[in-house]
Amino acid sequence: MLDEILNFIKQALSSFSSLIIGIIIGLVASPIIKNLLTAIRFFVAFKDLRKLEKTYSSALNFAKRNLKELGLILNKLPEEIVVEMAYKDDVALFSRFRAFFKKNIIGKLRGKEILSITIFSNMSYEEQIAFIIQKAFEAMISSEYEKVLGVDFRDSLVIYYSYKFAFLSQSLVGKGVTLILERKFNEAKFKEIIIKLDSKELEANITLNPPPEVRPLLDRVIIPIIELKSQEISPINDLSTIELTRREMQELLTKIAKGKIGILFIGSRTPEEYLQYVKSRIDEFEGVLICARGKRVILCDYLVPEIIKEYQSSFGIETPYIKTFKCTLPSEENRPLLYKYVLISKQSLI
Amino acid sequence: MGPSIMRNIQSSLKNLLPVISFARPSDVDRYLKLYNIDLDSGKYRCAICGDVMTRENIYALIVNGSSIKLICNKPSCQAKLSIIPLEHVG
Repeated sequence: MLDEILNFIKQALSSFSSLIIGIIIGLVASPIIKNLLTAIRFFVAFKDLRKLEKTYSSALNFAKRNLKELGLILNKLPEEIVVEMAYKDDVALFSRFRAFFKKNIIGKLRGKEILSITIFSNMSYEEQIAFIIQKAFEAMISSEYEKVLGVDFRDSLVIYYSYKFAFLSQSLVGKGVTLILERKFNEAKFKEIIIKLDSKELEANITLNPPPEVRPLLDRVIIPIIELKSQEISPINDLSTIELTRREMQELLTKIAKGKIGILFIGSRTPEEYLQYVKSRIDEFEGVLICARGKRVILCDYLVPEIIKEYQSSFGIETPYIKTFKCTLPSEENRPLLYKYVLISKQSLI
Repeated sequence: MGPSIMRNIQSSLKNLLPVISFARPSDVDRYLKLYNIDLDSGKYRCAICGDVMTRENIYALIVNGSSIKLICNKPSCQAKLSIIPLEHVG
């Protein structure tokens, strides 16, 4: 009987001591586990917030590589943004230390003007990335373009470049983001024209000579023309002039997209060679768009009257339609460079 | 445009650091308190369309030093919101 009581006491003491040990271990381990979870949360938040920031700087670099002629605006834009808070799967991504460090240490020490923008919405994490991409391209493809192109065409261009960037940077932004922007582009009013203007097939069909550099027509010809025209029309507020410009520009882009206008790039060949390129395919197109920049503009100026003569003799037109776009834009090295585009056509744009 | 003008424009435009927060509509009160904004006063209007701002129609809050701008949630105003407002850098 006594043995049984002693055994019971022994077992009770053993259970109690296990319990005490468990509690002590728990007390010691819980702050460690808590700190470990905090550290994991911090690194996950850091990584996901960093991805949003990196998306902006990558979009800017993408534009600097592909849309060099927008240098004037691209160089205006901040090189980085800070994302202080975001949501992913309904979990708030936020780090007080990170926000303080970015704003006060990095921002203020470098003399930056802090502009805090808080957006209240139920966007998913992918939608937040797509939002940053789209807003970045909206800043690059200036709202001034609306004067030249109209709102819908400019919006279509913004969403096209956003989608193109996401598609080519899928490893950074993820497939979900590309799909969001693809869906938006599919709703764009000028989708078909923009796709054609960026197609290699169109470029091969309408380029009269081997171009001096390999770049899509949209980046190399269309964007600079829009930029030139945008700078020209910027101080004008007369509605009829703006409307006329929009109609002319939309007609020009539509005709290029439909393959009705040939493109001649002025490079280092002889004037005779360029004239031969035009003569050999003059019957295939309504007109030719001569593109030159820098010192090649001199050769362009020499060729224009010669090509006009060619149109006069080939089609019996006394005065072909001529439209000139000329302005200084930044070059690859960010130096001002004269750009000139001359359209010579059998008939006027509108 | 001469090189000096271009350089001037470029050098004056690099100073902005946009700090973006994606918040939930349920966070509105916390942010209004943080920036001491009293929407009940009725003096805050959408910087784009001019509508009176309420807790229900607030879409964005832009703070630059002591200047506070609010944008409402009309689709046309949402579309016009710029995270890099060029008037700050132009």
